[in-house]
Parts: sequence; C-alpha cells; structure tokens
Amino acid sequence: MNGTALDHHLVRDYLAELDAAMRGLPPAQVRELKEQIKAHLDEALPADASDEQVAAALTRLGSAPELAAEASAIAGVAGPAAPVSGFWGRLARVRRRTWVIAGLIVILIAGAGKYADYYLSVGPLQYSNGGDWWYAQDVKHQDIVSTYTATQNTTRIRSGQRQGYVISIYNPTKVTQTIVGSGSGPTAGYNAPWGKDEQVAVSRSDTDIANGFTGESAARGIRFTLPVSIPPFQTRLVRVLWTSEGCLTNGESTGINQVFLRVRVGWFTRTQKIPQQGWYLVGPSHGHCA
Amino acid sequence: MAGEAGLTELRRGVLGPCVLSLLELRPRFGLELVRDLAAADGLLTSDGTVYPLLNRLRDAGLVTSEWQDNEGERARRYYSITEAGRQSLEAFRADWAQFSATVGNVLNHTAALDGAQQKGRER
Repeated sequence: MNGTALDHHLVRDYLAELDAAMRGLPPAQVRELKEQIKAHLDEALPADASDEQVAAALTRLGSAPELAAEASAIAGVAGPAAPVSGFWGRLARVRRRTWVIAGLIVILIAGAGKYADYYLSVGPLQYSNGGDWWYAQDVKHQDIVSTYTATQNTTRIRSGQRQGYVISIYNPTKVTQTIVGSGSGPTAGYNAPWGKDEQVAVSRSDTDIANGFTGESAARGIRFTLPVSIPPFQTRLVRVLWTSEGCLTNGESTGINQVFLRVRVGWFTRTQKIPQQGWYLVGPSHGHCA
Repeated sequence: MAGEAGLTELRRGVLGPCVLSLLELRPRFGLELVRDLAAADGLLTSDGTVYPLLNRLRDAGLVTSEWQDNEGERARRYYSITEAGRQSLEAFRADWAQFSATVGNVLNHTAALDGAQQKGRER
C-alpha cells in the first residue's frame, strides 16, 4: 500500500466529523488543529494499519465533538488567558459591555442622523402675500405697482430716520419653526434698503396682514418680540425696521424683495431666504442729506 | 471520590503546566508530547486535547513552534518553551506547592483545622 493512514476510511470519516464539529470556530484555528491531528495520526499509525489499530488510535484521540469543545474552550492554561489569533480572535476578546456600548452608539448615531434628516429637510417659512409700510407717513406716500407675478411698494426715503415694513410670514410645514433673529446676523442692513441699525421682530399671536393692514396704527396692541415660534399652518407678522442712510437723488431708488431670517427647527438653526414683495425707497433725500 | 468529571476538571487545571514542564527539558513534537503525558498515568483524558492546549500556550506566548525537517526523519512541528513560559511555570510551581499543601491539610484533617474547630467549641 502506497498511501498513509490518512487514507484509511475511518480516518477520513473522523476528519469529516471533526470538520463538522468545528464549524463555527475561526477558520485559521480549524486549519491548524486539523493539520496537527493529521500529523498525529500519520505518525501514530502505520500506512497499513488495520481497522482495529485505527479505531484504537481514534478512541485515544477523543471524539470529534470532544476535541472541538476543547478547541473552543480550554481552562487552566498557565499564564495569561490565551487569546485566539487573527481577526476572529480579536473579535472574540471584545467584552460584552463594549459590544453593548458600541451598539448604543450606533443606535444614537442612526437616531441623530434620522433626526437631522427630518429637521433639515423641513421646508422654509413663506411670505404670505401681504405687507405694509410700518410708519404712517410712509404709508401715506406709498406707490404700489402690481404685475401678474410681483408687487413693488415704493415710498419716499427719509434719510436719517427710522423706516420699515411689516409682512405676513406663514409656516406651511408640519413642524413648529422659531424665528430667532435677522438672517443678516450682526451686520445690519441685509433686510433693509440702504439702512442701518436693522431690527427684526415678530408678533406673538396668529395674525394675518393680508386684509388691509395699515401699518403702525393698526398694529397697536400687537406685541413684537423675539424669538417667536410659529406652529404649523399659522401666520405671524414680521416687522423689519431700520434707519435709512445714504442720499438718493430725485428719482433714484433702492430696495429689496427678500427677507433673511434665522429660523430654528428642532435643534438646528439656519438662515432662511424668503422671497417677498419689493420694498423700495425713492429719492430725493431731504434734511439729513442737505 | 471526584468521579470522572471531577478528574477531568483537575486534569485541565494542571495539563498546561505539565506540558511546559516537559518542554522545559527539551523541545518536543506533538506525538512525542502526547506519549510522554500519557505515560504519566491518569494525566491525559484523550490524546487530542493536547493540540488545542498547545495552540493556546503558543498564542499566550508561553511556547513557540517551528517545523523541522531533519535528515532521515519526517518533517515535524517542534514545540519549545519561551522565557515567559519558564516564568509562568515557576510561578505555577510555587502556587502549586502552597495549594497542594493546603488541600492536603484539609483532606487529611490536619492539626491546623482541628485547632480551629477546637477554638470554635471553646466559645
């Protein structure tokens, strides 16, 4: 016989059984142990070993399930706890508590991601198609030009004096949005045509300006403040005041047609650019510029 | 009596140090180790258990292994004890001496235990 004891059918059966019993153990560990067992049998048995000799050697070796159990957990090893090598070994040494913490972190990150996705995808506030100059003298001199697509409200510039407008802002979303300030930040004039010392404030109650608002006098009793939350599908008045500066010559004008607001949604605060009607100041300037 | 299960647990606790002790004398290959351990009556439950143990001792840095292809012999993997293995073995020898003495005292009803019982009766 030219083969080795490893060709014996009992040995082949045993090795197959060992393979099955060690399923689930790290592949490197399985390969190494099989190589050791094969070397053991190859050396312990003659090439022409009888069935009885092979059976006796396999019995001394221990059953495949017993051997697999020993491979997966041996107690009483001298020295430090014996680690299993390779990726699976490192994975197996990770403590249960570490897994729990890692799991919680993953859940928190996923939850925070969903939370962020939800709130960052919320649509902006909307201009509610209505507005007026804040001060009576500006209302008195206003000139409203409406086209099919836009409205422009022009009044005389009063250089060096406070001017401003009030508009309706509507929350079309299912989430409460809170106006916390001007989107222009510390730099005044972003929402104000040629103005400085800009001041943005919001009414606290659900008020719509669409039906004939007449500025400052009509707004008496309405409190404007910041921050103000706008619940879903409600409207608030947003007042923008500034001190007009610069000097316009006769017929010269300046204006804006959008308002920038800092708006908080959930934990996130962002600047919203809200298109609106045009607010224009026209020259000539008087007094301050004389 | 400890019974077979109890003996198996006892063997597990001492097999590692016994392997280290054999390797302390000289490097050995697997079957050689198995035969030497089997020669010590009752120490080895089954031959196969030695190999997972050797792998764990190696992973713990207590033994090393290398293939040797000596002329006239088949290629064999030889296991050797490391310095860490020697230190571990020395520590176990000291612990074992103390431990076996303590267990022996308890099992053999030594004077120390009798004294404690005596004191208990006097109270």
